[in-house]
Amino acid sequence: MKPFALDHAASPDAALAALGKGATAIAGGTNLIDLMKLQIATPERLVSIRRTGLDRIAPDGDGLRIGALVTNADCAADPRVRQDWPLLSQAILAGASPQLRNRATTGGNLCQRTRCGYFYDTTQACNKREAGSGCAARDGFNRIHAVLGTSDACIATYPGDMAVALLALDAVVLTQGPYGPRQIPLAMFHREPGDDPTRDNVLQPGELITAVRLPAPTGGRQIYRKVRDRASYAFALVSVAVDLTMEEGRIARCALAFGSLGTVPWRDPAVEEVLIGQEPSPALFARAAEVLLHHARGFGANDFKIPLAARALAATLAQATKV
Amino acid sequence: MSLHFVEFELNGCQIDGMVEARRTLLDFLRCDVGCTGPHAGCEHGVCGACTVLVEGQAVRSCLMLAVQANGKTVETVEGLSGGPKELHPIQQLFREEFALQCGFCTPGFLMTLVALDRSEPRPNAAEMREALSGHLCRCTGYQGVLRVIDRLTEDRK
Amino acid sequence: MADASLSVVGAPLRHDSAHLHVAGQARYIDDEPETPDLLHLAFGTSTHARARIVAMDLDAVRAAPGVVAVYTAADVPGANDVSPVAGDDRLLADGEVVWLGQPLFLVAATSRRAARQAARLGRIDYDAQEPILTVEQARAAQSLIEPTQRMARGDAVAALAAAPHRLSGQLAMGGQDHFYLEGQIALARPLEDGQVHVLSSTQHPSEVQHLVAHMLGRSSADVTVEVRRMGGAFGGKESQAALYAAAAALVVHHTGRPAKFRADRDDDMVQTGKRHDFVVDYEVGFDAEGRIAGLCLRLASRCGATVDLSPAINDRAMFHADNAYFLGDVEIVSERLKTNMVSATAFRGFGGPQGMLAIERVMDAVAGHLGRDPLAVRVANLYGPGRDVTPYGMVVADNIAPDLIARLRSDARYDERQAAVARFNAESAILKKGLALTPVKFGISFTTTHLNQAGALLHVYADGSIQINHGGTEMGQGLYTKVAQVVAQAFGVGLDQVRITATRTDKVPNTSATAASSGADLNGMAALDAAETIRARLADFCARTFGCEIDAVVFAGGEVQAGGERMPWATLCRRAHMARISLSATGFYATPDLHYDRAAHQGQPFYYFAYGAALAEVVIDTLTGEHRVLAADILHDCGRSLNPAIDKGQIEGGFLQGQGWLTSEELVWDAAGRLLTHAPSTYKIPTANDRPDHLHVTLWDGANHRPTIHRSKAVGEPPFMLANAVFSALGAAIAATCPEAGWPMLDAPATPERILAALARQRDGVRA
Repeated sequence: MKPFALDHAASPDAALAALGKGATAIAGGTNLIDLMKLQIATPERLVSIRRTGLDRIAPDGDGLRIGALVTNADCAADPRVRQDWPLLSQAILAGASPQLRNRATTGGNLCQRTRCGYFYDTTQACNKREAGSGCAARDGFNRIHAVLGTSDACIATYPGDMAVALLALDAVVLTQGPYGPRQIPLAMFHREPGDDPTRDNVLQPGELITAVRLPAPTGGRQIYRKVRDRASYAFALVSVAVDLTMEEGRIARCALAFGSLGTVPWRDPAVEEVLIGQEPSPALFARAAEVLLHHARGFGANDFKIPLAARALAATLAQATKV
Repeated sequence: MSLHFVEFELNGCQIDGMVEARRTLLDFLRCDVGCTGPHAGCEHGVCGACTVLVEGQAVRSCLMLAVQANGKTVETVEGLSGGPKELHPIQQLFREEFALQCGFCTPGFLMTLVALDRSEPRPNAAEMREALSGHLCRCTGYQGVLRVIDRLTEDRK
Repeated sequence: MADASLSVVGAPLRHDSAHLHVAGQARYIDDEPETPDLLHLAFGTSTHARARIVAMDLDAVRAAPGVVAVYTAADVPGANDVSPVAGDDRLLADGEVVWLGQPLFLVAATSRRAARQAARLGRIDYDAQEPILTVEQARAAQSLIEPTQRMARGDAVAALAAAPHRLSGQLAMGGQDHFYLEGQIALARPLEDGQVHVLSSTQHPSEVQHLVAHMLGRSSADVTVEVRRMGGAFGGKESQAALYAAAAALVVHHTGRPAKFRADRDDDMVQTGKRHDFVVDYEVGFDAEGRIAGLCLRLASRCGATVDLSPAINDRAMFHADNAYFLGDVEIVSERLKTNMVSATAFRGFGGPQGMLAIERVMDAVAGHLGRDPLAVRVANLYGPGRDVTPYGMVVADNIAPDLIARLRSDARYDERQAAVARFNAESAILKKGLALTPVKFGISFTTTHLNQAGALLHVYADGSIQINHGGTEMGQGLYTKVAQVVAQAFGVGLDQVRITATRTDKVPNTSATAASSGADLNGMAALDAAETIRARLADFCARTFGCEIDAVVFAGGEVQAGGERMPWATLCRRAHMARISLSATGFYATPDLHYDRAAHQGQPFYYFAYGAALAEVVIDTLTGEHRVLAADILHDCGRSLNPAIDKGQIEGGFLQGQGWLTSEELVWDAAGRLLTHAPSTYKIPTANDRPDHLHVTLWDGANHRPTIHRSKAVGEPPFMLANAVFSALGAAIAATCPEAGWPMLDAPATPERILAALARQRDGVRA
């Protein structure tokens, strides 16, 4: 780790002031400290935002407002979340380990960096780590990499689980920044790499996530399905988040999001349109998968993700629509 | 290079020191305090051998800065008992159930289990097993640890 | 001499350090207090897999903050060699690099961080060459670490031609990282007159001692190596620990300051050897019952850039390509390919798992071809009367496999559960189950005959306390506890009387590695030899003092009875000391009856076999390729167990480690020879949630037919191969989707995408 200066912010305003001076925010640090150890992140100034008071979960109309500093463990265990947004709880519990979830926070989780091995290996070319250096993953070992939303510059996935659930739940990210507050729908929060993979999300310099807002519960059947190499404590090969309501044997409403499939948490309204109003059947699920994966592109080692995503989608929909 | 004053309660004793901001809690405990129960296994937060309790919660001390523990309570395996002769009940169970072989991962497992055992509502056996998936053991196949969990949850019934 | 009661040996006594481990007070090398003058070390490593070093500019390294010294091959005073056998592993590269990650120079600094950061600053000018990495490249270049070996009996080709049925196929299996939780570490300290003391996390202190001495240009008597315990090893600290110990000793030699080398986890995974990956091609001829008439087996392994222990490892793969089966006319060919990768090394099973998995695949493929139950094919091929000689000419004299399999089949309700699995599969479209029962027969002894020796040093103090030291090392397997049990039993005292001390080369010299499952067999016997020497002296003393026959002296229950006299053990020790009886002795053991002609691959390389069998039941999700091990029932042979609780721990742990090898642990190298899976986040060993939902381990109740230590059997490695049942069960589950397509082509590890690919091939009717 390179030396750095550290300040503690006692309020969101103090945090914003420090961020405005170029500091990097640290909350749980479960990803950032690792990146700093590897000298992939080399901030000169850190501001700890753990004591900014943003660690509460509170009702917000019919919805729920989850403070940015709420730990993953607390969020997943919250009775309201478990009752009305079980998808979120399931997704969080499917990720990392309890000891990490005790430290990792809601805001930090959204900002975690990819687990692309080339991003972590400073001897390798990586446009996300070092703009213009190239992408070693395209022709390298890209088993865990994205098949949707890729660009010539980058094929790394966003690795998390929580954001996939939030995306399916139509969550909104609330921020404060030099230009005032913003409400960013989760669907617009993460950035596809395009020709600038260094920026994972749309946060501006000096901007701070203060909370995530969940809209009113849908009452639908919610399932988070994660396919991975071992039973727990592994990043997804593919994950599917579904929130679905059946009426009279047909899919009345449906939200679907996918993890580790795209460069960002992936949601495609066209897939949902295929399903809504229809009677569930393997043929219907296959059609949905076709729409989802129409533009998917494998890079060799991750080719298997395309059929795997289709099958994971079918499996999850079969479960969610089962009477 | 700026030094930070850090003080916290370690296993019931107040300790303090001057540390660089970049010093991890694990390095501070092991090298500066001489508290070598938490082990450096992978130093990337994956293996769990460095697990300690901060404010009663199991966390990875290798992914936490020492300064982040400022003003908190920290517990390590050394604080669970008065030593090898007066063991905490969970330590005793680990011994009785052969829940260890090389023992390198053991302090981490113990801290997570102790935290779970104290928590309300008390987790059931399945929840405890899930929590243990954040700890890697290469020797035992986890079988002994699961026997410990079975006995812990039995004892409560 | 009357034997003492059996209360200590055979009892499920706790690990000798368990109370320390749970209190966080069991000391590992990194827990040793650090003195202010301690230097921390790191290697600068090569970024090419095969190159000539044109120049090394280390000015920036030397100038980096905290750096005290930087060393290259030119600074090695003696032999620049850390290899176990062949003399081809450099401590620091000298002119050429042969694998990516190879140490080039050594940095000594005031902190670990400073050393590691400085190590990245070397500017190396390479003349790079095309590396040899794949099996195909190595074959094309005939790049071998030694000539291809052949073990054969009869005329396999003719037998194949004459057989009613024939099949051929290929199976690839990956390597495996040891992932010991305590990484490689050594701490060296200067002693007077140029002597060095090295704390090394090693399974082979004597070899580290000899290599360090040779490297320093000094005698072995000048170097002492000590190891109290390792945080896991599994073969990964047999030859691999020497690199770090030698580096630390080199710094001590030059600076006169203590030096510690604790490898970072990622560096450790890159810099140290792993299990050999294998590609197996088979051609088998068999009858309608599935009984093998002829078999040609070609085993090819990537050995990496140097010899290390690869000859013996690949030999063991050949030795175990029969597993428990009589192979009749057979030819086993073994290619040992030299590739520009870190040298593959010892890992629990030592080639045995690879050979055994090969023959289990043959059994499954034959069963799939004939549409028979794989267990029926296995049973038909077992060794038996008139069919009891291995391909290397050793008579299988202790063949309990048929009985052991029959008992597990009945106790674990194989037939009933196989029928239930068939019913499940008939009704379940997406989830498919598979069930398999596979045996293990594992040869016990170092196949290099001279290694089968051990020594012990035993002191009885005048207060009755006993200190035992032997050449074996403790890596969690409970060896110290077992040897202490043997000693306590010999004197009829409790285990609390016996203090077992750190393994040190100045106490017991010229030891073999604690490897080949031999720890308790060899060191237990050596300790017993020492104990019997002292006991005989004490018995003689009693007979003379109390006027009874020597044979009438009884050591039991912490007391000694001699004629009419009866006294506490400690009292006897005190009296013997006063009478000037020596209470210290060495012990020695050399395994008898071993001989092997390596040129012909014939002889008796093993003292006996350890057996076991496992039944595994798995379920796969045919949509996603995920699987779960539902249950494993294990029946394992430890002879007359010295400590059933410790032995069960070895079985449970070995099984899950084997399951990891075959399912989730995948090593990937890129086209430049760079290891890509070098962190616990990318290399996935099993977690608590991956173990079978139901795991039931039973010990086979029977004594070793050989006079081993208390008729026990070695248990370190054999259970690893019980996990072959998981791999066969996965194959069975895939086969269930389209049984008429025969046995599926599934390579190891069976990751979700490999299972999906196998399912797709099965659907398309590609036969194994």
